[in-house]
Amino acid sequence: MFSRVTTIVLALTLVATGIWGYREHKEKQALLLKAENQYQRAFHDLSDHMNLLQDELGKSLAVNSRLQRASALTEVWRLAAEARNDVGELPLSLMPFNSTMNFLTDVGNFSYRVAIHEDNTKGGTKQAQALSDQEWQNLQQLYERSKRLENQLSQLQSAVIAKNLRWMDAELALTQTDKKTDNIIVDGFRAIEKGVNSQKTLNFGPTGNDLKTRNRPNEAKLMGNPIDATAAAKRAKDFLGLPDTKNIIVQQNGKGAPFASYTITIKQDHKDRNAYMTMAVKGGNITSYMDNRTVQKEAIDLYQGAEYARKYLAAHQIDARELVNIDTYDHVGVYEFVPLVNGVRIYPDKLAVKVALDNGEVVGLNLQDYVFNHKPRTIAKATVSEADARKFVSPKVQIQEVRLAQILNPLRQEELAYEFIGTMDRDTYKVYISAVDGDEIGVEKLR
Amino acid sequence: MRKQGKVLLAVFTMLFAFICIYVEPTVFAPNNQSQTVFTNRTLVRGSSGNDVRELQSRLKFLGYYKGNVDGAFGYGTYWAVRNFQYKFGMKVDGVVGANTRSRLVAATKGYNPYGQRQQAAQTRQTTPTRQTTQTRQTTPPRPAAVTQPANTRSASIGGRNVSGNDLKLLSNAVYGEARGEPYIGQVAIAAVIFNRQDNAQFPNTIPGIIFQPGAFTAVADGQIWLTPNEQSRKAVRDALNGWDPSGNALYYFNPVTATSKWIWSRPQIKRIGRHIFCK
Repeated sequence: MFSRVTTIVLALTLVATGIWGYREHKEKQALLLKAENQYQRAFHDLSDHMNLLQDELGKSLAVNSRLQRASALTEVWRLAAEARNDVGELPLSLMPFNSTMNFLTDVGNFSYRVAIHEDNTKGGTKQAQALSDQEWQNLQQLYERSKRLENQLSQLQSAVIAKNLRWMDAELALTQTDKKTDNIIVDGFRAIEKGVNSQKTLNFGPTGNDLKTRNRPNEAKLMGNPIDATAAAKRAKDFLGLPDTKNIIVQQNGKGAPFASYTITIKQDHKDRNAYMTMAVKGGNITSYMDNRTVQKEAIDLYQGAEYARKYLAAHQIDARELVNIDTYDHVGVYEFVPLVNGVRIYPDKLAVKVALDNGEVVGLNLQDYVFNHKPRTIAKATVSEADARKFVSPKVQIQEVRLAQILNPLRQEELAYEFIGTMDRDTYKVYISAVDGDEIGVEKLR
Repeated sequence: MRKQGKVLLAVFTMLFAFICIYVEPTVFAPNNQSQTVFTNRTLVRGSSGNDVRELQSRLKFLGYYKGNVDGAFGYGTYWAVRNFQYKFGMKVDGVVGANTRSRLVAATKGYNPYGQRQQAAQTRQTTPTRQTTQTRQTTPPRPAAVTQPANTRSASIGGRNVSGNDLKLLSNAVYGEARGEPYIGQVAIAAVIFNRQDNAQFPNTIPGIIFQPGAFTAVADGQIWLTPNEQSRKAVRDALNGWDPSGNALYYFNPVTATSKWIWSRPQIKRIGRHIFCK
């Protein structure tokens, strides 16, 4: 009797567990399928976009009118961005795919420059020109390369469709990189990357090549001799006004660093508090300093904080007194300063000072741009008068402030410009008009 | 005696109630100055807090300010202050110091910081039993919590524009990836994400970088959805303001758990806490 009840209960439990397990399994399958479909979509989209991209590149070579070429190249620019987006949605961050991403960026940037930027500025001042030989060759090369890339992709695509290959398997294969994989998708993408990587780099002209290295600080700009670790520790000590170097640890950064530098850690009495510094080996200038002391209360206001920042800069012979921006969070004020030369703001030398608002102590410095760009400057004379420059600003913008500023234009070259701060409705904009030729260099929306 | 006392008490209560009801709204306006949440600090563009709210609503009362009263001294407030200073013949610098503050308070005599609620109370004042609500009105209500402004960097063209929600995502990512790490290690991770945004090899949006499949383990295992703490938020703000302890790194890995051989081939920069940062 008893055993029969037990049997029935057990059997029921087993059935229930079975049903539950089956449903769990179904749900898991549905989720996996959903994820798989997202990958599939990104992959097929990528192939599609590449196909359209090489079509449009080809068109831009074939057409002769400026308008047609511009519209084809604008399309290339858009498709390149789409393709990059697709790559970003695939689990390819586990394998090297840099060259292909770089290639897509190059295609986008170059066609943008040729189509929109150069043509427009040239159209404004000079006669619109046909493509230069160099530009034509570059486009031709990009076309060839994108065709090859597209071929490989579409072959892979056919294989994926024909053999029902799953991206989930590819992802799994990618996580086990130690073993030699035989996943067709992974191998296909490796082949693509290898192909792009082996191509020799294109010459996009001086401006285009400069753009690629724009974020890399140029060590040649630094003055002075390389210093060793002991000298670096001494410099850090002097800079911070410490009695000795016994709490200072100096480590040289590896070869991946953007410039030869030391990381200097200053041991603090409190466990959670630490201060660190980056110092260039050449010349021994401090490019960055941060002390993460917690600031509990605000005893001085943001306005007074700026005075502490100014005093600090003066005490360290850092010549940048013009306050351009203030940010505040967690009881600290972050002040951005630029030097002022004959009333002209020098934006390339911008630096930031972080002041603790409890006692005015400086707890952070960001001097990298200043260290690399600051030099005695002779400011070119403005050839466009302010009144003339005003005419280049949209009449819909109400101008509130005007000043001259040395800025970096989109090609990362220094240029003297009028900085107009104006309002339109409730929004505030900064408009930069070149003081040399009256071109509108850039617009920025401020908040 | 007891009866007399009771009558006296009743009379006093009534008197007090009437004083509260009839005198209070009139003394309220001049009283403003003492009740203002204006503090003594000087306000500049970038300031935030309840005193900025007060400044904004007073300027709004006068019609100089048209935006939202959000407690963040941005450009909208800046122009309003400048216009106010210009109209009142003061030095036009957009800085709210003692002088501007007192002129503004003097100019906003009829201003009532609790406008809506006060009016609602006044309509009910016919019944003296409302005394309690009236007296409660005189204590300033707790100002609503200041919402953090969606701060954006704006100093020169090409400045990084990051929305407030992007910042939240970033602090989630930093917290999920590096919550046991030293503070500079957390700043470094936020900096890596910003460095990726500037790099051609990565998606160009913050969410695109964070949610790139396989890019961050915290995204893969869901730790990104833990509630971030104050420190990770601060780390993101530091990175946004340009501090980069990673030394321009694009990748980082934990040498103990890293499975990819390829990551070891990247040129290394430095080690912070448990992470090795590389290019």
